[in-house]
Parts: sequence; C-alpha cells; structure tokens
Amino acid sequence: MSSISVRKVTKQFGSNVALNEVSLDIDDREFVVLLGPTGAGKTTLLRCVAGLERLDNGDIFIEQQNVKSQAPAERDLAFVFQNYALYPRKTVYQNIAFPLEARAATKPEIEAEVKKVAEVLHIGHLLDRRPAQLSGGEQQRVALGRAMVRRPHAFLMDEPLTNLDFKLRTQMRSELKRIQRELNETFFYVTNDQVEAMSMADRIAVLNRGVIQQVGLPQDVYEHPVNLFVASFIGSPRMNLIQCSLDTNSMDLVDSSGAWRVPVPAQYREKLSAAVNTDSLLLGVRAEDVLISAENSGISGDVYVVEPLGDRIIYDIRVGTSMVKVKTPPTYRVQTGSQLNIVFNMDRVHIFDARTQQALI
Amino acid sequence: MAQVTIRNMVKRFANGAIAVDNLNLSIPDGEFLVLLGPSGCGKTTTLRSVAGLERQTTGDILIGDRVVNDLPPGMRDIAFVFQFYALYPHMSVYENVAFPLRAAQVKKDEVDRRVKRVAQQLRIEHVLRRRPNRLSSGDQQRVALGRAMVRQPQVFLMDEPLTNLDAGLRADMRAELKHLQADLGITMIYVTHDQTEAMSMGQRVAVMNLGVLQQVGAPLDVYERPSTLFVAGFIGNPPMNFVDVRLDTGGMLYGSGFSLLLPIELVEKVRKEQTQPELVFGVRAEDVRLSNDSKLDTLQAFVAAVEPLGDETIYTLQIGEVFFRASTTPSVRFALGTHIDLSFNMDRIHLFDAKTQKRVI
Amino acid sequence: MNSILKNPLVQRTMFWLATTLVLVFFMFPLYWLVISSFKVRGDVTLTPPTLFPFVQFQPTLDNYIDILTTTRGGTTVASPFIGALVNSILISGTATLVAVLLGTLAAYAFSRFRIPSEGNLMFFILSTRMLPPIVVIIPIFLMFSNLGLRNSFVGLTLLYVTAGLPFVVWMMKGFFDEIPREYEDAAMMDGYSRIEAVWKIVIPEAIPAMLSTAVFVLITAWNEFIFALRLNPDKFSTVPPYLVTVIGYGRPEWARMAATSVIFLLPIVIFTVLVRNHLLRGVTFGAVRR
Repeated sequence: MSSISVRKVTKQFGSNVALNEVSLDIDDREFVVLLGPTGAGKTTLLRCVAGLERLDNGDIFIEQQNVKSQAPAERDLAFVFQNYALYPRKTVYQNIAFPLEARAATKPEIEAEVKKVAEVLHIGHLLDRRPAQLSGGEQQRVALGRAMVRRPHAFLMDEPLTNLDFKLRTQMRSELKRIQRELNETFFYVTNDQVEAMSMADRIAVLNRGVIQQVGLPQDVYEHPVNLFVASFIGSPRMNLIQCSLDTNSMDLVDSSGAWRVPVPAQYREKLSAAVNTDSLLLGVRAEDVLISAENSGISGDVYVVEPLGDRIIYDIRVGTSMVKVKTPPTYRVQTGSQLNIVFNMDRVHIFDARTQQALI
Repeated sequence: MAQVTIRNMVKRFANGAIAVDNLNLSIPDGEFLVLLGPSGCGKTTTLRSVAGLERQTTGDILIGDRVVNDLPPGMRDIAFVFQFYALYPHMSVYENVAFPLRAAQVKKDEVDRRVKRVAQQLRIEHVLRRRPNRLSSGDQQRVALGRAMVRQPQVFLMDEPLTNLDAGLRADMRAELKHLQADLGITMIYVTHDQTEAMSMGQRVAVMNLGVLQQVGAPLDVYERPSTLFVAGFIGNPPMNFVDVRLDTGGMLYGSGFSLLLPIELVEKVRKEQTQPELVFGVRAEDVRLSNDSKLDTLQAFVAAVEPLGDETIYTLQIGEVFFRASTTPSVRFALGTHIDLSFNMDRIHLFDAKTQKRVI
Repeated sequence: MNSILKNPLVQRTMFWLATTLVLVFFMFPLYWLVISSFKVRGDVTLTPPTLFPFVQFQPTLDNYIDILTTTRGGTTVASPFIGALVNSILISGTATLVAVLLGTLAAYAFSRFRIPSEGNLMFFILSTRMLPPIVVIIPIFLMFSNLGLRNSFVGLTLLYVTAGLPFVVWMMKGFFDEIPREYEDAAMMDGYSRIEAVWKIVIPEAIPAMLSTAVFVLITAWNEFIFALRLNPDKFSTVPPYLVTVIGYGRPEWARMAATSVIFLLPIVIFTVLVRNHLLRGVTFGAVRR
C-alpha cells in the first residue's frame, strides 16, 4: 500500500532507447495497467521500478521516498513474472515461504502466514507439490501467493495471464481484480492485451516506443484516443481508419478516391478549420459506430468478408479503395459480395492528422 | 481441387494413448473447414495424418476418390502451410514462389508461366521483383499462399498459421485469408485453438476434444446450438455461464442458492427427452439481461465485478453461490457492490444432461 | 514378409539382437583389456586367443600384485605406481574442482551481466583451445622452470585448471542462458542479495551441468601425457607417463600393462557411474525446449 511515482525515467540498452523521459504517477491502492505492444518498454519500466534495472536518468519514488539507489530487496515490492519464476526444486510451501525466510521469521510464523495465503488463493491442497506438477492456473496462484505473503508496498505484475489459455485468462481477470480489491493494495500491471487493460484497470497508461502516449480511465482512452497509435491499439476489431481530405469550403470530408463525402458535424467544424494538413486526414470510426443504412442513403459498398462471431457479426465492407469493418447483431445476415450502404455515427468519429498522427477531434 | 474424406480414423500412439478416436469427417471440394479444439485434442494429429506426416493406426483417408493411406506426403498433392511469414528473406518474391517448382525440376518457361499465373490470381504481379521484407503483411501472406498454390495442390492444410502475429495484424490476416479462399475456391483444412479465428473464418467448424469429434457445423449453428457441454463452453467469448441444476416436477430449476421457473413449452421438451433430472443450465453473456426494476421473472443479483471493454461492458453477477457473466452496451452502468435485477432471454437458454454432457434443449 | 516384420515378438527380438551386436562391437576392446590383465604373460599372445576365464585360461592376480608392489632389499613395499596414482587423483581432482568452480562463476557473469565486448572475450577464451597444446610446451617449460613450478603439485594442477577453464565457461554459459534470469530476479525481489539468490536458487539448478562438465574436464586432465612427462618427471609424476615405463624392454609386458590400464581406468569409471544420472540430464541440456 503505497504510491509510486516515476519521474522522467530514461533507460538505454546500447543505442536502443527503451524508455524516453517516462513520467507516471500511481496513487495509493490504485490498479494501473501499463499497456503497449511487444518492445514498447513496458517490462523495462516495471523492472526499473522493481530495481532490477538501473536507471540511466530520472527518479523513482515510493511513498515520496527516492528509491533510485536502493536494491530490489530494500524496496519491498512484489514482482509476479510472466513465466512465474517458481523455484523448480522447492515445493509450493517452500516457494511461498522463501521470502519470509529472507527476513528471518520463525518457523511457526512462516507456517501461519503460508497457510493464510494458501487459503485466500485456494491452493491449500497443493502445498506439498512441486511447480512442475501444477497446471498453469495453479502456478499462477502460487506466484501470486509468493508475492502476497510478505505484504509488500505494492505489486508489480508482468503479463501474468499471458501463459494461460483463453478461458482461464477470462476467469483470472476478474479474480485478480477481486484480489486487488480485497488486499486493498497498489497494483502496477503490464500487458499487451488491450482487453485485459480495459477490463482490469482503474487507469490505463499506453506506452509505445518508450514514450507514454496517454494516461486515463479505460472508457476515456477508448472514446477519446489522443493519437493514431492509441486509437488503433485499443478496441477490437481495430478502429477503421479511412484516408480523406477536408473540403474547406463545404466543410465536408472527402474520401481519397473521391467516391464519397460526409459533412463534418457542426460541433467539430471550428476545431477542424484550424487544422494545417487538411489534405491528409484520417477518419477513424469504430466498427460499432458504422451503421447499415437504407438502400438509397449513405455510402455504398460491397461485402468482402463475413466474420460471424456468435454474439455479433463483423462485415468487412469495401467502399471505394478502403475497407470498413462493421459490427452488427447476429440477426443481421447478408452474403459475401452483396451490395449495401453504410453511414457513420458522426458524433462518435475521430479525425487524425495523418502526418503528425495526432487526434484533431 | 478435391474433397477430403476421413473414414473411421483412429490414431493410437506407441504409449497406448488414443489421439484420435474413430473420426469421420468429409470436407467437400472448395470448403474452408476449421478444426477447433484445445491443445491435445487431436486436431493437429488429424491434420498431420491427412498430410501424410503421420500414419493413422486404422481407418482411411481419401483425397478426391483416391485412398492415400500409403502415399508419402510428397505424393498426396497437398500443400502444408506452417506459418505465414516463413518466406525466404534472401530471395525475391518471384524466386520464393518458384522455389517449390525448382525443387521438382520443372522446366524454366513452365515455371515462369505458372508463377505469373499464380501472381495474377493473387494480385501480387507488381511485387514479384521485391524482397519479402519490403512487403506489407497482407502481401506477404499472399506470397506464402502463392508458394503453396504454385504446385497446384488438391488441398491446403494449415496449422495455426497466425498464432505468432500480434492481435491487430491477426484480425487483418483472418479476413484476407478468408476472402482469398472463397475467391480462389480452394479446399482448406485449418487447425486452430482460437475460437474467434474458427468462428470468423470457417465455412464449417469441427470441434474436437480428447480425440473425439464433438460437433461439425456452420459457425453460428455451433454457437447457437452446441451439441455438448464442451462445445458450449469452448465457443463464445466470454465463455457461456453454466449452473448445475436439478429439474423438479413442477418445472422449476434448482441450483445452489438459485432457482428459475422454466416456461411450460421448455418443460415439455425436456420431458420428451426423458433425461434424468440432473441438468446443466447454460446461458450466454449476451442473453443475460440486467435492469433496475424487479418483476416476477427477475432474480436479484449482486454486482461482483465490472469489466468495461470499450464497445461493451461485462458484469460478473452473483446469485447465491452462482456467478453469471452478462455483457451489455457501455451506456448501461451499474455500480460495483450494488444489487440489480437479472433475467434471461428464455428463447436462447441451453440445458445439458449432467451425466452424458449432451444437449437436451 | 511384411506381416512377419510387423509381429511385435519379431520386432523385439531384432531390436535386442541389434543392440547386442553394437554393444559387443564397442565393448570388446575393453573386455580384451580386462581379461588380459588376469592372464599370465604367455597367454596374452596366444593364437587363437583365449576369451573365457576359467574355461580357456586360469585367471591370476599376479600382474596386479606385480605392479602394485616392488621388492627393495628383500622386503615388499608399495611400487612407484601407487605414488603416481595418488598424484593423478590429487592433481586431476583438484584441477577439476577449481576449474569447475571458477568457470561456473565466470560463466554466470557472462550470462547475466552486460560485459563490455563480451563476444570478443568469449571468443578469446575459446581460442586458447584452438591450438594443439604441444606448440606451447617450450614457453610453458621455461616459464615453469623460472617460477619453480616444475616438479610441483601446484604447477601441473594450475596447467590443468587453465586447460579446463574455457570448456567449463562455454558449457556453463550455455547452461545459464537456459535458466530464466527471473529465478534470481524473483529471489532478489523476495529479499535476498544476488549472491544469496545464486547460491540458493541457481547453483542447485546448475549442479547436473557442473557435474557433467566436471567429467569432461577430469578425463582430459587424467589422460594428459606430454606436459606431465615433461614438467613432472619425478616426484609428482602422474600415471600416463608411468604407463610408458611398464611396457618393458625387449619383450612387451602386455599383461602388466593391461593390469596398470585397468587400475588407471577405475577412478574415472567410478566417478562417471556416481554422477551418471546427472550426466544424462546435463549433457542433453539445451537440446530440449522447456
């Protein structure tokens, strides 16, 4: 239970800049998810906070105390690794007891603590086994138990659900969230899975190429991405991005092939008229904000691929030179190759400057 | 192109374990069939047996009308695609596509003719001189497919070719591959453990578990009428909610701390099946309705977890000792820890026999 | 024909037949050596040879008694061979122990830390094994002479440590690269220092690899001949140079040589048998993905 503050942290590996002046504040008892693709620098940042990597520049504070020069053991944080890093030669009991032995706790104390943790995580029946004899989900719980047992300042987690199968992952998502609430502790959690980030986080921090892109509430990040990267990284299916330009006279957005145009909603006109690169814009529309319209309205296109997902169907519609994904309820069914018309829910579209990649509205 | 028939196939490993148990499956000419199942379910063994990389213990495999049991892989007229990005980086696209023909010592002008024809079919003529790493991922996929097509195989076999790609790219590749398959009319057997991939790509999906074929059907049919408990739980995201229940004579379902009155026509249907009273009640997350007004058919539930995903929000609700997941649009907002009212879309509930695990209604 | 081959009994019989053939082929020289050591001198060179003890020839322990003892002034005392054997055990054993310990630590550092120009250093370490040892015998001889390391226990041991180290560093680095570094990271997060983490977590994991590496280093040191012959001719002489002296003059002493070889072989066989379970795991590490 502590706040963590990362101030202008820079970390280089050779000539490769893994983290570039990263700043991030995590409040006491907050669940912050650091989200980004492979190679974004997420794990490096987590390891810097843990003290497993040395900073090239910047500071890290835990409870307002600068820990830059402290060894990992002194920082009193718990780390859950992607591969769990359970000690293969120790039993589950010994694994969980190991951190307590470091602080010279007495045997009865250790036993009481291990039993308590095992109970919370429902692994009491596994204490005599070795890690190799456990399923992925059980290993994950043991790793969590080893982290919990010494009541650290905060929990650092590096993609702990990645190695689980899809069903278990869905389950563990809400389970982890429940554990965080029950422990009432600070969680700093790294993942490349946007669904995990959205569903678990109090706040999301999106990292790409060592730079923080956006920090905010999950729904805010989803609805108001600040740049192209965040827009296309969060959400499934990926946000549709259509090349277009702005006709400054009529204030219409014109498709790059010139096949169709849509008017810019009144509330955005002022902002857009200030834009510089009006000839290279990207119109961003999420699949759920594309609607199938009546026959002689909207933009016409043909069905390229049908992807039935059960609770919804995704249609890939070819309009002009662009491909637009549309999400519909499973009751709406048309064949590949059919013609249909679509409209965009213009209150929920995004417009990006293709050059600067920044969101204009 | 040709149809593939698998007849009474059994594969028993040397240690006696049965990998595939009496499999009968027929894939018509030009069909995209997805073999879906968890790891170890026998799907890859089946695919490898069709390819000739493994020999089934008993049973027949036919490609076209020809029994191929004793033919080595090279003589079966099949293409086995392992991973899409496995192009030779030091060769041009042309050389990549021509490579299998060179191995077969086809004459030079014949090679040229066939490479050009495949390139035309796949619309990659303009990139023939380039190196694979200078291509978009979509084009790379086309080249990989071209390399398989150039030998004019009867059947395409694919073993999780998209597994190592990141989520966004995978979604793009999925749609592109499906379109290409339909466009070219090739017969395709595709193995995956990812139910989203299976649903969105397959014309038909064959679900396997523990070596036994569970169900074959169109994606939405499998989704809406799963024939076993396993299929119901494996397909769909989030996974289907299950409750162990007992049906009493009055048409009431009892679970632990949970009870539900079945509509009379459903009760009659169950009676007709003459099952024993121990059942499993199943309902998908989108068929759970949440509201704030209690009615006769609503159940009071406790909001145990909220997972906002952007385009939808998943609630975990607790009734007695039973948990339900419900998916809603993001505009619906209930606070964590409150009580709400829950009902089911009774047209879309599922009941399974708890002993045989088979679908009742 | 096909059906006969598919009969499980036939298959099993053929398997054992083939295994036996291969085994006989490889083990025969060893068998020859062992029975020769129990023959009287004349029997060794008989044609056709006698192969079965008690049936074809009467085994005798004379050769062993012969080489282990010697008569000096009418009393029987231990022969110089015993001294050489003790030297061999002490020198090779110490060298192996030191090389494996030092090499393991170096390998750990190479595996876990960013060491400037690591690649070049690793290559440099390996390059010491790239020339035949004989080419450095003169400089080594002169160096050892000047430092007073000739005819000493320390000198030859030091040489064998140097020869064994590159092998240990390369083998153990490969092994450490396979052990996830998260093990130590986890232990450090759990409140231990790096040294403690290595001692409590990594070393127990590394023991099979250390043992199998040790077998190879030990065998190399045990067999080494030319440096032993040149540097330690007298007091600290090891077995390989001694073996030469057993050959005898005029008529070769085959039986005595065989007995000496058997005894020379024993310590290595015993060590290998003791660690055989680890050896298999150690030698195949890296071959399987975990």
